Amino acid sequence: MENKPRKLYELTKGIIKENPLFVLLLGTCPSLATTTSLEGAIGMGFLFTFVLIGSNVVISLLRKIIPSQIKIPCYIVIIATFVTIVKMLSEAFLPELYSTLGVFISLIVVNCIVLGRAEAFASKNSVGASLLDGIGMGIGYTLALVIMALVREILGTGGLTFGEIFTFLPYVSFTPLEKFAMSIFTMPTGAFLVLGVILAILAYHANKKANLERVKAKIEKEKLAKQASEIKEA
Amino acid sequence: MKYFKTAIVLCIICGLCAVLIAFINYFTAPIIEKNKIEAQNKACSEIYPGLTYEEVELNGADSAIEKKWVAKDGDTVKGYIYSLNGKNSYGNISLLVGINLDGSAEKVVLTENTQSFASKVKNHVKSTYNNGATADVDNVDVKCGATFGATLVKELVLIAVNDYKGGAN
Repeated sequence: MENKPRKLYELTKGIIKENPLFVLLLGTCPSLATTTSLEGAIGMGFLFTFVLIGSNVVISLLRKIIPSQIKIPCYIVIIATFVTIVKMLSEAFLPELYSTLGVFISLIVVNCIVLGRAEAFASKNSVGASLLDGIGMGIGYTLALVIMALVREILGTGGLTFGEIFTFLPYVSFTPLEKFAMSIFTMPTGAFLVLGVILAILAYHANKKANLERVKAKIEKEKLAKQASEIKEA
Repeated sequence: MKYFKTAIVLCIICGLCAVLIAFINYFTAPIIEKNKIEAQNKACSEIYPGLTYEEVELNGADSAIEKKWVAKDGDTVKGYIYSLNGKNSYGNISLLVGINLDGSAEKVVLTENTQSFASKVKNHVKSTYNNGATADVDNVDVKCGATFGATLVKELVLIAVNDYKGGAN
């Protein structure tokens, strides 16, 4: 019975509680570069999730075989293999996505989330748990990219465009706010601004919650102290 | 013995990874090649639509020139299309440059763009070279060339123009 909530925790922790981008602040470089369009962000998230799941599962499978002296080179070789596979598959089946993401597909090899999960989780846990961790973290990262891309594309272009990168979708461009578009949001500066504002909002909520709990604990403590003094007086 | 085991494990992992990559490459390489040819034909027809394209042999051309076609309307030569590839710190750029018989650049089309500022390069090519570019491409303004690969695009276009003017056709 205890196993089920743990599995659920492994799957969901990466989505909000331990979101790799917004909470752990890992993988910020590609997130700033690939979130100029919603389609690009979804594509990057999908490729990244594939690499993360694949590398997590293989590293977990080989965790008892890999000697500790060469674990990092082995992890890099495994991650690089999955990145190469993803690169070849995207070039063959999603050429538009491949040319849009460009060098950032290859750079997944050095993404600290992938190596971080391999070292901190997959090398110490079972295949099942590593798979769930990979799925959860992948969804969390994709979600973070999608949020950033949504804000940047709407503010930067005045709307959303579909079918430009995923050519199997019909081309739809909905830009009702084109007149008010601020092109700074399609630039790296805009990416930093959006990430900063999102992190500030999250920090505000986290602090608000922590402060509320601190106040509650203080009131409870004072109440107990008052009761104790009343008993003493009586 | 300890080091021997470590080396063996690393070799086995590398070998398995190589086999996996080779397996995927076996299936994807023909599709990638087909995509490239399709994209190239599409791009060629964007420069000189409705013509036929014949590959020309490269003799002593610049190493950036990968291929060269002559665009013909029946037996009449309309122009030349150059496929060029260049590299800088931000990635690769492959483009097709159409050169008219009078030496002017007809149009430039990006076929591969792996630059970090890919969309900027795309916009630059669109605005600078596709509005009836002339042979005087060395005087084209480059906006912040050092930052998004515009200098590389300019260099590649000049290589194509110079190759045509040098009589390599």
